[in-house]
Amino acid sequence: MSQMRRGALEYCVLALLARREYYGFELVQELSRVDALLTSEGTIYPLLSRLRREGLVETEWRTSPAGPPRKYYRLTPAGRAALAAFRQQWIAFRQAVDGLLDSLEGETK
Amino acid sequence: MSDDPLRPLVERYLREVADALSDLLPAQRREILDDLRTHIHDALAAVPDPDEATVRSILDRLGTPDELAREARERLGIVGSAPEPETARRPGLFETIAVVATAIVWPIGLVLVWLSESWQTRDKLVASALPLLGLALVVLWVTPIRVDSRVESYELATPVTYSPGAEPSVAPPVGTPTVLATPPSHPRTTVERANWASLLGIAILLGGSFGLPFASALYLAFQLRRPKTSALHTGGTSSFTAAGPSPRHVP
Repeated sequence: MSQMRRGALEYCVLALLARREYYGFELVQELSRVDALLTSEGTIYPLLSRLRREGLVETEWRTSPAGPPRKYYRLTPAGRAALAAFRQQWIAFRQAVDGLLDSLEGETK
Repeated sequence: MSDDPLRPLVERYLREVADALSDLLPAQRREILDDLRTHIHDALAAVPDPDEATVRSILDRLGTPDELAREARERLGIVGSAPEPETARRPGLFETIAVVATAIVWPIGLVLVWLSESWQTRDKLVASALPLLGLALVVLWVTPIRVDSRVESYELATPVTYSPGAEPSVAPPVGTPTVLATPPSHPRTTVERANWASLLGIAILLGGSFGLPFASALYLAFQLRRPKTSALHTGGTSSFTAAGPSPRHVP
């Protein structure tokens, strides 16, 4: 289960960034709204670091009204493509699992 | 700043995280620590009147240093990422038997070694060369002993038969004692030489037939272990596929 969550989490991050640019704390707040997706908030930062290294997101430093400058994350074309591929596979996968679970549920009733 | 008295708590947490992340590359560690520091700053700024409980709750939600370190290792693929140990641990019972067999009955052991894919050809060649060298030493040692004794018997035979007849100019009474004198001194040196020779022979026989195959087995065991650590590093960096169920690049 935790592997599935970890795998899905990175595409949820990409999906959020497809909407607009976020800085770290904002992303965490958004993801925290989804139950059980982000169990430890700090784990998002190694993930973001890797997404950047893979070229799926890029970062930009911007001054903030108060406090230190913030690192904003933005989706790259490669990130957009990866998200599109995931979305397709995820839908097919979800339908397959749902179909199986539904048919088995009908059998046992 | 209202969070000044709370700073030690934050600093201690970040220090613990830094310690837990010590096996990451310095740049990666620094980046994560900076991100966490900014996160804590932002989280504190979002609360109107932060106190110690606020800080503790923020740090709690971030996760324990160990948790963060585990995630960082797996996401950034440094060491101990999930799929690596399995592939690296592939050398198993077969290789163990091969190594043990090499130490005891090396011809069988080496056949098993050559059948296994856990060693590089270079390692297999080195491992095969050692017992063969041992065998060669033993064979070379055993044969010269016969040649030597034959040579010595010739040496003994020559002076006895030829010297009196070949050198008639030398006076027979003088010639005879020399002939007599040589044989007793000769066996004595051969006996001494034979003592040393037998010690050396035992060393060569033992070393050649047991020592070198054992060294070969040790070498194989060492080579089995070495790729395991290097695989963790080279494979680790590309092991991020473990995190995602699907390919992330679309051509």
